[in-house]
Amino acid sequence: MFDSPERLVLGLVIGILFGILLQKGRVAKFSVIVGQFVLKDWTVVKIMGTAVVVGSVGVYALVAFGLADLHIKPFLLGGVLLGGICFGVGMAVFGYCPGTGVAACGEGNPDAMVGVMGMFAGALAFVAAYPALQPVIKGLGDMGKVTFPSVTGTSPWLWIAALVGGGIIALILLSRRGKSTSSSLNPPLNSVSVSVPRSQRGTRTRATVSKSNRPS
Amino acid sequence: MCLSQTCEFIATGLGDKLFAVPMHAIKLQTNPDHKDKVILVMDVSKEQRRITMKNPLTMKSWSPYVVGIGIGVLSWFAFGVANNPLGISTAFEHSAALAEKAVVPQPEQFNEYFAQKAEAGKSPKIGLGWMLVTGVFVGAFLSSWLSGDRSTESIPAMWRERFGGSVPLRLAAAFFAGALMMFGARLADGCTSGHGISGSLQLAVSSWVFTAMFFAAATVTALALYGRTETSHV
Repeated sequence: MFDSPERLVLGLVIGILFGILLQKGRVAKFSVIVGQFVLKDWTVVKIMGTAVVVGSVGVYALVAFGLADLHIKPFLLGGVLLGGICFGVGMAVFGYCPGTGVAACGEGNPDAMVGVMGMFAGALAFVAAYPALQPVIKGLGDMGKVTFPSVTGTSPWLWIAALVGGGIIALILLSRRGKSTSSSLNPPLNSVSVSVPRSQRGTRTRATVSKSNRPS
Repeated sequence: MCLSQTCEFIATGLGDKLFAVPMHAIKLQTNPDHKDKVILVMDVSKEQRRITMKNPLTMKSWSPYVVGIGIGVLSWFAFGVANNPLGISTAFEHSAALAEKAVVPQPEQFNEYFAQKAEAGKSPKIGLGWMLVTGVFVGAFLSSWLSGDRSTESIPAMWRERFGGSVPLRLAAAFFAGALMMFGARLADGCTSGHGISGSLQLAVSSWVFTAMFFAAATVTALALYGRTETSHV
């Protein structure tokens, strides 16, 4: 019923770090989550994309050195498709996902706290209906614990290279778009220059100040 | 204005405001137009960076790429040290199962649930995953508290603009949407963390399909509820 105390502490430490990252990433905020789904704020995609690219390199390296095992979830077509739809609709209305919902509770949001109670109710319903749900989950087919490398018979590093390459290209495109919009709409104030007559250096004087927007 | 080398700060005016500027942020340059004058150039952005980088925990936000790298590296530890990928929703299912078992001692469907989970080696327990969820709450609390980024409004601004200021409406929607979301997560055996991040980084087909499905469903729902134009302030 309980894990060993070391594992409980380990879980708490990983969780605290995860919670800090989610809060600093601003994804424990309704406006950022819903902003993603109305295609106005791409924070969620940036964080998830970076995490997947960085994570895949390290985790597959650990597996290659025999230091970690993969934990692949089976591809049960009915469960994944129906679950994805329920999850997406619920997330768009709630405005948080399970992890960021818990983080939003930590941030103090009362609606997130009620939503997390709802999440517990949803879990209760799932467990209660578990036997009846099996035909739905497994009915459309069970492909097993498959990965893209295992399905295609290719090296995982081929896929990871593609992920890294895709990430770098996306980053370049995004930074170009960001530059063109930020410089045209709201030029950042990079430096302030103050003119002082050379003869008056070292004495008290009134300075004339001008603002300039030099690119740094 | 004091320009002697012993000064640590220099007072300067900009508009109607007066600033104290640290000397090390200022460079003297000859004015190219008037050779008899010098220009004080202050690198404001450099100074801002120096001040704000003091303690990352008191910052309100980090770059999404920094956060993404952080979660990616945290995943290495979750796999390598804890042998347990980052995930949230399994802990909710396990807690629910244990609660139901405690309240209703011998119902058939729970026996089947527990039997199947035991067979898969995934018997419900208060374990590492449960502490991870607790940790997320604690971490987010600490982070928001240290940076003064607490948020105690029941109704998010976007919601208020679209559905009005009724607290019961927002709380009811949050409860049922949270329930639907968790039900979906358990149908698919994972959420944004377990499938979206931990599963995707393992290149699991189930996780990429789930992530594409929920992003599509959430985008359709959010666009139907809020539209594209009404949220231009976000």
